[in-house]
Amino acid sequence: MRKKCILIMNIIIFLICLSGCWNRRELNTLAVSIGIAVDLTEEREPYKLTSQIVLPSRTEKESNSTKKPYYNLMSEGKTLFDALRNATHESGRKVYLPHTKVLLIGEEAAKRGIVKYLDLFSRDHETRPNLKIIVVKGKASEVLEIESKIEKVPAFSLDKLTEMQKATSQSTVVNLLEFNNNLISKTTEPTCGVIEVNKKNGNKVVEMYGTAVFKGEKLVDYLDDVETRGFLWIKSDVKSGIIVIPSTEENEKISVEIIKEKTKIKTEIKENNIEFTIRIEGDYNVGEFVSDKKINNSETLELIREGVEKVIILEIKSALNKAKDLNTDIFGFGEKVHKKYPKEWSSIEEQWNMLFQDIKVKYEFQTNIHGAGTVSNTAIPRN
Amino acid sequence: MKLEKGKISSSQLMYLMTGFILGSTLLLSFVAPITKQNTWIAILFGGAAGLILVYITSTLAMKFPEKNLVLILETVYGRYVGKIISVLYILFFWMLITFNVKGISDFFVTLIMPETPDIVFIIIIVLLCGYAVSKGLEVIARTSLLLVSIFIIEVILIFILLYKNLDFTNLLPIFDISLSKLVQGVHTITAIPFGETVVFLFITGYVSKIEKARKASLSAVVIGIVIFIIISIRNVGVLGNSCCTIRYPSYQAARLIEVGNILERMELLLAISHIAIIFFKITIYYYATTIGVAQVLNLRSNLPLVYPIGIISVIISSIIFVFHLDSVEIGTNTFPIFSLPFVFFIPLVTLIIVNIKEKNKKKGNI
Repeated sequence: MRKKCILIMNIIIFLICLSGCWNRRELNTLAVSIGIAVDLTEEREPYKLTSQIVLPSRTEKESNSTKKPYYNLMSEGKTLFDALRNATHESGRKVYLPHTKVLLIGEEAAKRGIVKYLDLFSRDHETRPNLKIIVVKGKASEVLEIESKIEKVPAFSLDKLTEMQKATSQSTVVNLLEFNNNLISKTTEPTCGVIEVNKKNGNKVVEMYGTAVFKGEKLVDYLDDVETRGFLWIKSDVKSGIIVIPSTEENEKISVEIIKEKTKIKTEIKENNIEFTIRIEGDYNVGEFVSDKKINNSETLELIREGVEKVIILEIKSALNKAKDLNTDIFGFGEKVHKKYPKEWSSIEEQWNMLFQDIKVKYEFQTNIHGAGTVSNTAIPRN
Repeated sequence: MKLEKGKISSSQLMYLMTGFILGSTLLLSFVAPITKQNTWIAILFGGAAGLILVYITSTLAMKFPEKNLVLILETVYGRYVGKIISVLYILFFWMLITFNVKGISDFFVTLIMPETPDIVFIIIIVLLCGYAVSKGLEVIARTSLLLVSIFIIEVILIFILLYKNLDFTNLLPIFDISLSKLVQGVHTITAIPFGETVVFLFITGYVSKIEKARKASLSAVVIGIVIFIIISIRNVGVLGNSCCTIRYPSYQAARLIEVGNILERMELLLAISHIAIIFFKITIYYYATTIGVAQVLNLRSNLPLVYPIGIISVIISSIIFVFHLDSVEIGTNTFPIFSLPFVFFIPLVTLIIVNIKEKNKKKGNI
């Protein structure tokens, strides 16, 4: 009898204590943030934070299309965390971070030093290390206001935009973890994606291309789309994209699509010269080939192959030159030397900035042209 | 008078010990800032040192079958000195209960439920472990196979799911570390998961075939080394340079799992298996403390001590570290040196004394 009493008491205690979480948060008490933009202003409370809150009830298909399915919650504070909490002056719900997809940082803020904007997001338990970091040319909060024609919520459209960048490989997509890794590294400089607001046909549109280059924690310059592809070739991060081989006397321009690519980099120190051999193994398909020649003879294929390699070399060179101009080792060459030659590294480390200026780069290619689409010859008028 | 009537098999001892060693997984991040990408080397060396320590303790256990640590110390050093050393050991294990309880409650408060007071986690965990201890060694041993396999499956599963994020070049350059830092890292690794197995001197006495105990203990250490190396390679490979700045690298690594758009946000799986494995570590310390106190005070049973010791542990755990990062400071700088006499010197000296006594006896007989 006594045992049964104790058992029943235990069951009751556990039922009461363990049936729910202490700080449970129901959906109707949360403001689920999906995108955050930070800007620096000249006012007394300089940190301006805009978090895009999704309003789930309005995202349904039947709902009235005049009502926006999101709300931009703006707040200011002395620090970023202060600003985030100050949002509760306006909203009855606390901003809930785990679903944040993108962190937009205004150009001005990034130029002054980005670390103080990132620390909160690496420290907080709610944010995830795969939060995407993007620098906005201009004001970051503006981007969250521009609705795309296809997606209803700007932050979701930005997230999809970053996913789609692999189709051209002309912009970098970097998450918080990768950015921090490069910040911590002694030689590698961090990079991240860039967004720009442009006007097209009188409408504002958000466009993503290029790369923001940092030196230490400060934004110094941007790579354009060609340089960015060159940068990604070295990082072995080119997923897809179109290579346009310029026209010659005999041929029109040829477009070749990148199917698969892998870059291997060999590092060597030869008589105080640091030499990198970049070997690019790639599979390509011909997408456009306007010519009366047959594509399946070895001469034409050789021509295409050479053309592809030339374009790649040009892209890589443009990226390298830009990086040397800025004196930023964004490629992680320093880390590669460190990993291959740990003993020599201690003497190299201090003068790496100088040595980076005159590194030598050699190219090797294995270019496989696989297909040429559904026709064998171009449909052109016969003479 | 025996305090524990149960018997465990040598394979159960192995699972228990594996669970106990793996219970220090969260503490691996203490070493990461020191040894960085070379953590796995530190684990390898630390594990080798751990094998020696386990060899010493298991030899000691085999010399005194069916005796626990308190009785061993009393027979070797005499009644009073032996009791004093035993009390020190008991306080040491008791302290480790509170450290580990606080550790797991910190884990939850920092990462999962920041607004919940940590006393809630502390009470629930101590209650759970106290229940396990009151059920006796056999019950704890029987759960070991299940919980240890859950943990090992979790480690392997997360390794596979993170395989595409792994960058093995993060592990380079190998051996790029100053000797003093390597020694510090190896020392910490030896002290925290492996050296603490000295607590098993309270358990090996109840193994049914004592001659198999050594093999079981050594294989537990080897399993521990392998799993730790997998974990540390995974964390460094996935997190790169950040690994040494993150407090709970395994958890952050698990957050990166993204297979398609379906398998995401798997980190709670990891939290669950961590609770299961840390439950072990705390339960074994708890068990050793109750048995030790009962033995020192010559009680007939350890059961009346379970809840009083639990209540005191709850109170100490809730006040022990005010600032969460204090535990990191103590784990890296203080504890490895503080634990040295308990995990190394006393067992070694005891073994030497026992050997000398045995030789003298043999000579005397001749």
